[in-house]
Amino acid sequence: METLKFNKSHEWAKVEGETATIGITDYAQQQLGDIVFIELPDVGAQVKQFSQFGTIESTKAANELYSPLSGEVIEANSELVNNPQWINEDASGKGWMIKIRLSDASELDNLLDEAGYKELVEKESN
Amino acid sequence: MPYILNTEKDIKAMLKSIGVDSVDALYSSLPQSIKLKEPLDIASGLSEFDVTKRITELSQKNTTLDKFNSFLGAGSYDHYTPAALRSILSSSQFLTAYTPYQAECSQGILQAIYEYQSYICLLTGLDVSNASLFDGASALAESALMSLRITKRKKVIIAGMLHPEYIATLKTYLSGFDFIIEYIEAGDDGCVDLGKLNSKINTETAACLVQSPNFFGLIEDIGQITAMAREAGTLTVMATNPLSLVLFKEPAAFGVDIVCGDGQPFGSGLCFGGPSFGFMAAKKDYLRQMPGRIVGKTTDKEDNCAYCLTLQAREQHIRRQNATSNICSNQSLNAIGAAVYLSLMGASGIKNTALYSFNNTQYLYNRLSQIRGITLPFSNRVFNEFVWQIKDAGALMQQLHKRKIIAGFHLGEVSDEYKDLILSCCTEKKTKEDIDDLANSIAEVLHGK
Repeated sequence: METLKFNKSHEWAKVEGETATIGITDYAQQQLGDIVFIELPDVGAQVKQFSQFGTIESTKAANELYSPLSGEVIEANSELVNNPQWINEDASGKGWMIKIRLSDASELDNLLDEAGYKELVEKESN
Repeated sequence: MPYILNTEKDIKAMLKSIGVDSVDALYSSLPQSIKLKEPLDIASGLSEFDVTKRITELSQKNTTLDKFNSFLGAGSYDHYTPAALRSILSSSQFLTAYTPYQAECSQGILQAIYEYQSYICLLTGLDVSNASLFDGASALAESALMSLRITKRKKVIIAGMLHPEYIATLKTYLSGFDFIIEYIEAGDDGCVDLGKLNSKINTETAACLVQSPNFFGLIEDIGQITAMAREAGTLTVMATNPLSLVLFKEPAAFGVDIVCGDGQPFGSGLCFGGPSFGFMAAKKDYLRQMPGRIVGKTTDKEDNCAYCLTLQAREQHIRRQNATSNICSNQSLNAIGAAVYLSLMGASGIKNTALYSFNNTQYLYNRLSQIRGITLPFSNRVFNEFVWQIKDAGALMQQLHKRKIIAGFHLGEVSDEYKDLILSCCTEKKTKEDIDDLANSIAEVLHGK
């Protein structure tokens, strides 16, 4: 079973069993504009919930990426480095960034669900 | 508005407005022990006439190098600068603009910086140069920080004779972090002990910091050093005299990752030690970890050539505390001066400058080798300066000073260990007569006529 959860800082996490795939939301990519650069952690690195795991840079700004969950990085989408525009094209699909092995499933309770995130975006876009 | 602020009236008005009785009351939170008990003992003031007289008197205690036959170097070199350089740099568009705040409105400055960057890339063989940094020492420290960011490692190695002021600046930059600086001393030949270096470099080393020509003037075996570093995934940062690059193989050809140094030889003059500017160039892969401003060349919507400040998202004014570096500033005027200097000299002019410096230095090396009492502890694999050894070096230098000769930089000023060592430099400005004058005077002082 898949669970989709969101960070207030506009990252999504798709959780399947012990693994979570992480990326930024479509709303976030729209706000950033044309993405030109992304820096991701190495496989084996530890990420912590709400802590920085990477950097994203658009023609307008550079931002930190915050992990929705804690765990060990088991895969990084290395093709994104050469194709950062994929994040603009398909933020929730081929624009995924890292896969982690969860260290604490209870952290999911600290995140927003789809409805909660939708509400947040509506509030922010007003 | 009065030019001298804070009149009694002003002070009273300000105190009244914030509801405080006295200026002292503003400092009531400070401990008594650090407060002055009485006003500073400063005279009340002089008239304009008296000030001019006093300052003129003081300034006459200074002297200028053109009154001496000088062989000073050690990081600051006495090269000739064409008169046109000063005239071009005096142009107010260059002189008064600290930095192009409305960057794209300042196409002229941006183009000049872009030309500067292109020269640095040409000389180093590397892909990208920034718009300059403060000086050689800060450029080295920034290069070290850059290598720590790139490799995500914690340790840098200082390999051999790095300029002591660069090391001091590096220490300051790295203090407060949990970074480690390791030192590999120079071997008996004055160059990095490659065996020791090889045993120290490991997968925790972010960078190997090497200077070539090193502080003793000697050319390091950069090819060997980069090969050792590469094996451990360690970067090589090379500090250098940019003029030496005109003669020697470009650092990129050896696989150096970051080249940095002081741009002073390119038109900055001596000016009592500054300002000059720092330069830095790196491989394209490291572009986003590079500190400082970078000017890019592009086309506008009508397909005209246009220049812009590029990759600004790394920088402090956009990224605040997460900026790549705290350096947002540079020494534009001096860096532009370097571009102007190089273009005025032209390819053959700059090559001759380097060649004359080299040849003069070799000639002095040979002359000194023939004087009894002088030892040359290292080889003549040098660019424009070398070390010689003489007992009571300080006293000899004083004797020569009386004859209006500055024999070089007394290395005893750096460390007692070097008290018998003098570092002497020749630029293209030295004539055969100048060099003979030094050698003959040394022989006279040491052995009589």
